[in-house]
Amino acid sequence: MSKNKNLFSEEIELSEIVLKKTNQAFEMIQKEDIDYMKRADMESRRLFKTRAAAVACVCIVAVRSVTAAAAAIHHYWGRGMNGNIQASDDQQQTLTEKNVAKVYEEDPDDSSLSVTDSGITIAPNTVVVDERFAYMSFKISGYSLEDKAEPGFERVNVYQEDQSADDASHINTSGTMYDGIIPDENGQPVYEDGTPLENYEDGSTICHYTDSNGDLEYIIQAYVSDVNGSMLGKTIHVDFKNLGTFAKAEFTPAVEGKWDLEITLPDASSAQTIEVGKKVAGTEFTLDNIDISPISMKVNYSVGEAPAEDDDNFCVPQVEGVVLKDGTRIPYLADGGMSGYVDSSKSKAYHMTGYDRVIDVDEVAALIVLPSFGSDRVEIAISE
Amino acid sequence: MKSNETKFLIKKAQRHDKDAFTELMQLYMKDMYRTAIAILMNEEDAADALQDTILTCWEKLYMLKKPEFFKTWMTRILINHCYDIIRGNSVYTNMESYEEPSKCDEYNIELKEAYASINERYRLPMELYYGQGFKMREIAEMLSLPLNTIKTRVARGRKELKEYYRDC
Repeated sequence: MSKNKNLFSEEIELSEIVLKKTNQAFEMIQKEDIDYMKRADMESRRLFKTRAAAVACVCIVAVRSVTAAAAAIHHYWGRGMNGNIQASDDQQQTLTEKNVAKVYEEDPDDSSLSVTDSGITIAPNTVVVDERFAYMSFKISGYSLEDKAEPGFERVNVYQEDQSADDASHINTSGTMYDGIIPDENGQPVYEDGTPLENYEDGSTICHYTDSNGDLEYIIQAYVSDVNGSMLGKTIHVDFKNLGTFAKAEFTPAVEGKWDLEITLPDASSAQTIEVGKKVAGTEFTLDNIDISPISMKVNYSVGEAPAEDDDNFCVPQVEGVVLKDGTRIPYLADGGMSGYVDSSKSKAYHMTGYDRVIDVDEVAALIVLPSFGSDRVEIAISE
Repeated sequence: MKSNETKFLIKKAQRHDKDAFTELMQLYMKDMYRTAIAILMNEEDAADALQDTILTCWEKLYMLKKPEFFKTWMTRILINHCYDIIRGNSVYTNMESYEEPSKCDEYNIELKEAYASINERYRLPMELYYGQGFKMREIAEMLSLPLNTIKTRVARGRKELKEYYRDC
């Protein structure tokens, strides 16, 4: 097989046509960046282009269809919200009763929050919030989506009611049109009913953007950019512009319009602090405590000697999942967020993360932590 | 490049860093090309498959939760796009419209001639095993075929390739 091995390790030359087509692909991706940079009102707002945000979003959530079995539940989270953060019927009910979640269409007074333009109505559907994270979903009615088309907005602008020009008023956001695809417990994409993804004859993935009424839902995950900030009770503006479709990163408008919505988030805290005081094996970090809620957590570290940083990474240990008291492992719980040092002394650090599904905080026995890129994950017990 | 650096590029690309994504895909460009050629056997179709794969990876990278599976994930996307192209060609091609390979097919002639000597069913498992370093089990999962089928195809492909070199 020596000649065979030479064949398979033989240096090859990429042809002109291959280089041309691949460079075109990279240019299309970069071109999106040009649009992305055209942000006129960034001083007090966080603007994101829909497509960009969808790609940057490390999330995507779980959705469970509303079935007859759910009839006993008083509070139905929207289809898209279940796609934003997975929750059982009981969790939906409990969090809504505790005012951690709000289902807008249950309250007739909230009908005034919807906006109609060019025949398209957008209305807030469900919001789930804690100190750090807010998950929002908006129902879009009146748009007829063609088969195999990928719907989206040309722009979506999310910002907090401006209190001042300081950074505390800023929020980080990512959003996408819900496509009926969620991560399973192994982090792999499946349909919301747990069935494997299927393809059209041309090989593209079949997405389920519309519900049984033909409505779309846009889902947003937002979190504070100031680690000491809070989302509770805040007024959030969500401005949508031009509805259309995407194909290979190119947006084609179908309905020109503006839909500027304003919602006030619930203000009930669901977080609790758990003291841990355990060293993260193989690092200079000690996990002091965690601020944990059913929808996000912030892990606080003391740091011996801070590791060398690279361009874009503080090298702070990352929480990726949890182990429950019954032994259930949820290794891919973490979804979005940020990490860093509290100040320039680098003696304190944090990692803040949202989830891809709601958890029962009282049932968490341990955290699954990645100490550094390339290292083995470790479990750190947080309860006796 | 060390795997840690690759993982770092993946993480950056998942945070929508276009330069990191470009660098990441460039790392795998020749591997992708070899895989596409093993299936399609011509430059223009391979170019289309690579272009589609780059765009799909950019669009869907956020769905990849385990960076260590990036190459497997990307290769599966590439293979699907290659099969799409074959399906499309079978619909639109007939003998009257058949054209001689274009001049861009003058590239990597030795590789293509060697591939041409192997049954098309054996080419891809051979390339993935010997060329890309995937494990038999990974190839079986990637191609949705039983492990023993992959082992058999690699063994038969190896035999055909030996005969080709012997006859050269």
